[in-house]
Amino acid sequence: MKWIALALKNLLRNPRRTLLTMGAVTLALFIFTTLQTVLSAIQMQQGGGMGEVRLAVIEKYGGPRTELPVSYGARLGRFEHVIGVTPLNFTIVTAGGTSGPFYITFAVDPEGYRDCFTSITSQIPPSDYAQFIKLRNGALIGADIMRQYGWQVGDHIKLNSLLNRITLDLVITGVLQDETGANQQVSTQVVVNEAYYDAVRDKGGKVNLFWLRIDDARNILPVVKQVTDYYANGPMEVAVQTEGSMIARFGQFTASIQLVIKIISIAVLFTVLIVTANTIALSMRERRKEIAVMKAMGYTREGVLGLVILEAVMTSLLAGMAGTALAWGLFQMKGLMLSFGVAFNFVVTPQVMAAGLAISVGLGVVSGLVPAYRTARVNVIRALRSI
Amino acid sequence: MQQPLLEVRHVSKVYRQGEIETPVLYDIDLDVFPGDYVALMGPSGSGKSTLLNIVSGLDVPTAGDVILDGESIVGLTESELAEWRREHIGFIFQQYHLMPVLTAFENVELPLLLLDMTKRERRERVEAALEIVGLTDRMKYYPRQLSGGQQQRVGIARAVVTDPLLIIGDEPTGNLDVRSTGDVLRLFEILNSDLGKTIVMVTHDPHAAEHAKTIEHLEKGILLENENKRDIRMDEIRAKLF
Repeated sequence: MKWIALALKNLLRNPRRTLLTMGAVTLALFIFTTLQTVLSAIQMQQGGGMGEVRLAVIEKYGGPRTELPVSYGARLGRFEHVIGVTPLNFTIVTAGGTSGPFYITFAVDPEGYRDCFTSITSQIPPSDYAQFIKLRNGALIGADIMRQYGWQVGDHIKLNSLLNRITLDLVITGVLQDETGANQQVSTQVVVNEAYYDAVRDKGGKVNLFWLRIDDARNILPVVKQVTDYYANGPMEVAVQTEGSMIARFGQFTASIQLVIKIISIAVLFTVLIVTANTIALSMRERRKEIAVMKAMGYTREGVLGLVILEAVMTSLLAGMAGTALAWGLFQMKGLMLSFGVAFNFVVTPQVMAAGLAISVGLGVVSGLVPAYRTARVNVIRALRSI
Repeated sequence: MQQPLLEVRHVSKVYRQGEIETPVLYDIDLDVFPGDYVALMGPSGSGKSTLLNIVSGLDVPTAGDVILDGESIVGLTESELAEWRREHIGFIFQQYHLMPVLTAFENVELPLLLLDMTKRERRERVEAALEIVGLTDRMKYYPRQLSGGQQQRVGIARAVVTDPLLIIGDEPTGNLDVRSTGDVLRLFEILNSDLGKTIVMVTHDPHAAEHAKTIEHLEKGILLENENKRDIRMDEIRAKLF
């Protein structure tokens, strides 16, 4: 505690300079946390649902944007090795107005969804899921959304679908949550009955894609061949992709964004590292005599090194906390959306916050290291003699 | 027979810068006994400060030995010397060298932060040191709020607060007016005669030196009382050093 008090006194020696340095670090950590939150949202969107062998059936040339007839579902379910099939439409909904927060919503066949996504549906009580199957306007709501609005199972809610400007009158029949860690994204998603969704939007039985669940990974290739051959030369040819390639397809789409985010994060942190190191070095040059006096009194090189680094870490950590808190506040105030056909629900996760704070500490240590090393080596006699 | 507290044995110092060698001290022998108050005088460039730096462990001699309380400090590493100074030496500087961001209390407390003490113990020690120098009513003042004389008294409190064996003063009155000089010299006398502190002080001021019990004169790197040694041993020293 005594060293922290001493470091604090030294930080307040030139409040303007300290505040400006802290401002730079705060801004850098705000940018870092914001970008990492975006990155984490993109990555979370790509993850999940693993462990079950699934294939996506989409229109061959247009992909999910070119919708397939919902009637394909019945035939797809009859192919050998297919143990589950569900149509899937996706949209983005809000619980009020159009300003967010935004939630990804899937319209599915409840029974087919259960067969295809057992790892998710098995976490919903069977009685709740039975209600979801039974009620045409039943909905499964992500646990985070339920918490945010204080909703309970059985509540009647209205969600606005942004992609087609319709309102869904829904009854909450179950909660989507992830206790296994494999499907973290479901806690911010909504799942509704495709039959109801299709009736409300009145598009005549069109879906973005079908999910097929396969009995064994070794049977992927035969199923892909059977399905593509069956629909070849038909009115709507299909392409069959593994879940991995669907993720990869989305991954390719967002890879450049992720790369830009990473480059900006690194550039911002590197710049602020140089600024902070320069400020600390300047401060240390001004304090050469004081450091020399401390060494004369018995402070060792290591002690001086530790003190300088402590000051640097305190500066960057306090600023980092402020920057992280600002980013957290930003995402708390308003849900944000990046629309690439998929919406992202941005949450400053504890992992991102921890990374931000760890980087703040690292920034302090690295930026303080060189000035601290040079200061610790001050020659007492020469420093005291200099004017 | 009383043992010297400080023994300076055949200390020589040569500064080397590339090919250039500048001898500063020649074969210095000096004994300082417990309770001594020694003034080290001499013109500029005579080697006073160098000798003081060597005695206080801030510099190392080229040859010879420095022994304080029976312990030689020659050969100690930089960290060991720092720890040795922490426990045995109290410094008083000409320019006070107080930390501007710390109060008088905190400045005096600074050397105690390195010792294994509770906050309460530190507070008691600091208050006692400030009482000795008569500044208990200024303990919350920052250096900029104190006069030069008061700042030097804080410097003295900082030097004595660890109860060191030896107090080193480097021109402690060099920056002070007549009145403050008198105050500081009176304090030195109190520290020496009432509290039994051993003091070695470098000064240019003959008036300040008169307050000391012993005055040593240095000239061109030799102690004047040892001057006769210079010619006799010069060849030997040079042979040893170069």
